[in-house]
Amino acid sequence: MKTFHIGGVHPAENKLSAAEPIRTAAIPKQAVFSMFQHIGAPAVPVVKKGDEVKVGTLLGEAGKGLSVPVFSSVSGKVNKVDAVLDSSGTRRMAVIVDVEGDEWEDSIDRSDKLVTMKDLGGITAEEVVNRIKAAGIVGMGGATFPTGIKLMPPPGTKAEAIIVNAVECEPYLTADHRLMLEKPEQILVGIQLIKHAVNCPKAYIGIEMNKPDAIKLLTDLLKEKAAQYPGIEVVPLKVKYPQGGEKQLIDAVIGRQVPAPPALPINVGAIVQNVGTVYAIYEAVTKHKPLIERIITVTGKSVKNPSNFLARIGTPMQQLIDEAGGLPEDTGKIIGGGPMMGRALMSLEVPVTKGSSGLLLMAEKESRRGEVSPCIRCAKCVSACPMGLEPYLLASYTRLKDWDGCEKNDVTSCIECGSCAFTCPSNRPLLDNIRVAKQTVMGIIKARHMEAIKK
Amino acid sequence: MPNTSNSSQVSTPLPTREGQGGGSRPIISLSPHVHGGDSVQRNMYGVCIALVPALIASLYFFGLGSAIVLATSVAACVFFEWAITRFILDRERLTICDGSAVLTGLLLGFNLPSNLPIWIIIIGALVAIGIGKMTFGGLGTNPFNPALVGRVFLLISFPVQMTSWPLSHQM
Ligand code: SF4
Ligand code: SF4
Repeated sequence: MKTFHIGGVHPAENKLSAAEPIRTAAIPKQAVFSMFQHIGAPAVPVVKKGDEVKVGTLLGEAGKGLSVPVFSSVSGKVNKVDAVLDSSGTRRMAVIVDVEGDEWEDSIDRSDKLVTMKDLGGITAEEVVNRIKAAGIVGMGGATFPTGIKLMPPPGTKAEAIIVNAVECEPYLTADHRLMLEKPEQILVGIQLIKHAVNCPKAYIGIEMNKPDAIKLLTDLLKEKAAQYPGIEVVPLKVKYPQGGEKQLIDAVIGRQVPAPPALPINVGAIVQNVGTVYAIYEAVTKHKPLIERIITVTGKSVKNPSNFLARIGTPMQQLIDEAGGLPEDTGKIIGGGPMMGRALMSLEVPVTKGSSGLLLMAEKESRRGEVSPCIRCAKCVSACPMGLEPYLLASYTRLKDWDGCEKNDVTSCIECGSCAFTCPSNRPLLDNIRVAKQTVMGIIKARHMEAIKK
Repeated sequence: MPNTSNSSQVSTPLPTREGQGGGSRPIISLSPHVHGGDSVQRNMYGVCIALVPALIASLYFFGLGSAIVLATSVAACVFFEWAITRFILDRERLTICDGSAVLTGLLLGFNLPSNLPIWIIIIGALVAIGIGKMTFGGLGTNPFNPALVGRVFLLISFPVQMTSWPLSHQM
C-alpha cells in the first residue's frame, strides 16, 4: 500500500459525520463576504451600500497580482461595505448583504443534469482556465491558493500528473468523503477539465483506505465508463497524517520529491488539486456557477447531530451550529478546520469562507494543552516530522533567537502540520516556536533579497 | 516573542454564549489542537517495563542480594531527587512522579555487585541523582546518563568492592 516515506503520525480519526448525507443549509438572513478569503491580494469591492445583488453577482473584483474575485451567494441589498472581524481575528474589508428572497443571476445553470466533456463541444484549454479564474475558485482544502494560477504552469515546466487530493487526513472532517460519494461523476468530469486545461494525459485520485466506499465507487465507475474517462486512476493510500500535504501526497502517489522552496510541485511535473476544488471547477465551467457555496463539516464529540452542510459562503457559523443541534454546553474551543491544522475561532459570528472545510467544537476538557516538561531528547518529534526536520532543535534555536541556526536547519520547509507537537511526550509547544522562527526567517530572507536587488 | 510559552491560552467571559450558562470565552491556542497522549511518565515506565526480564533474571541468579541492591538503589534515587528538588533547588513542582528517578535507580542497581554494602549504594545514588542529574538542571538537561555517572564514581572510589562479587548460586 502506498504512502509517503518520511515521518507521519496517526491521530484518532473521529470521523463522526462520515455517514451523514450532505444537507443544504438554510439561507442566512445576513451574509458577510470577506474580500480576503484567499492567499494573495484582497479583492476590491465593486458594490456600495444600497446596491441590489443577486446570487452570483460580483461583489469584489480580483486585486492586483495573485488574487481572485468574490461573488454574492445570496440575493438582497448591500447593508454596508466595511472592515469586520474575520476568522483570523483581524479586521478586514467585507461586503455585508441583507438577504431578500433567493434570486439567481440568469447566466447560472441551476439544473442538476450532468454535463460531460462531449456536451461542452470543443471548449479550449484557455477558455477552461478563464472560466475557473472568473469564478473566483481557490484551493478548497484550506490552503485557498488561487486555482487559476495553479493551472498555468510557468514556462519551462510541464504537467505530467494531475493528483486529486481526496485524502482528507484531518481527523473529524468528512466533507470531501461525502462529496465523492454523492457527486462522483461530476468529479470525474472536473478532472477531465483540469487535464484538458493543462494538457496532461494522466490523473490520479489519492484516497486513504479509511474511505473504502469512496474508493470502490470511483474505481467501479472508472471501470464501467473506461472509454469516457480515460487516463484517470484511483490510488488507495495507507492512512497516515499529513498525507493531504501537497508534498507528501506527491511522494505517496507518484514517488517524486519536491525540492525545498522556492521549488513548486510543478517542478516535478505534478499539479495537486483538492477534490472539493475539482467539483467547484466542474460547476464553474459547465454551469457558469461562481464559487458561492461549499461543503463544510460541523462536528465534535458533544455535537448533537454532526453534519455535512452545503452552505452558502457568508453564512454565519452560528447558524450552522444551530442546524447541527446547537452549541454543546461543554464547548471549550471552536476550531475552523480540523484539529491538526485548524484555527481556533474567537466567536461564532465569523462567516463560512471559501476555505472553510470544517467547524469543530471541542469540549472544554479536551481543549487545554498538557503541562510542559523539559525535552527528554527522545527524538520522537524527529521521527514524526514529514519534512525530515529536527523540531526540538528548531524550537531551541527559536528560544535562543538564533535565526541563522533556524535558517540553516531549513525552518522554512516546515509545513506547519503539527505532527511534532502532537507527538511530543513532554507537551512542548514545538510548532508555536517553529512558526515564530519560520516567519522571522522568511522576513530576513525577503529583506536580504530586497537588499540584493537594490545593489 | 508571541506564542512561545505554554500560556497561550486565554479564558475570560464570552458574550456570545448568553443563555448557555457557559460564561467563558472560547479557548484560543495555536494548532495542533489534539495531542497523541504520550507523556514523559509513559516513556520512563515503558523503559522500566522493558527492564523486567533483566530484573527477573537478576533475581533468579543472584537472589536476595540483588533484591536488596535494587530496592535500595531505587529508593535512594527517588529520595534524593525529592530532597534536592524540595530543599536545595526549592522548586514547587516535584518531579519524582515522572518515573525518571525510578529508572535511574533501577539502572544503577543493575550496575552494582549483589553484595555491595548498602551505604555504598546510597552514595552511588546520591552521586547519580545529585551530580549526574540535578546539578545540570534535572530531567532532560543531563549531559551523561546519571546512572553511569554513579557507577563510574563508585568504580573509582571503591574499586575493590565494585570489582569482586559472589558467583551466582545457579552456576
Ligand atoms: S510542524 Fe513543521 S517541524 Fe513540526 S512536524 Fe510538521 S513540518 Fe515538521
Ligand atoms: S518529542 Fe519532545 S521531548 Fe522528544 S525530542 Fe522532541 S521536543 Fe524533545
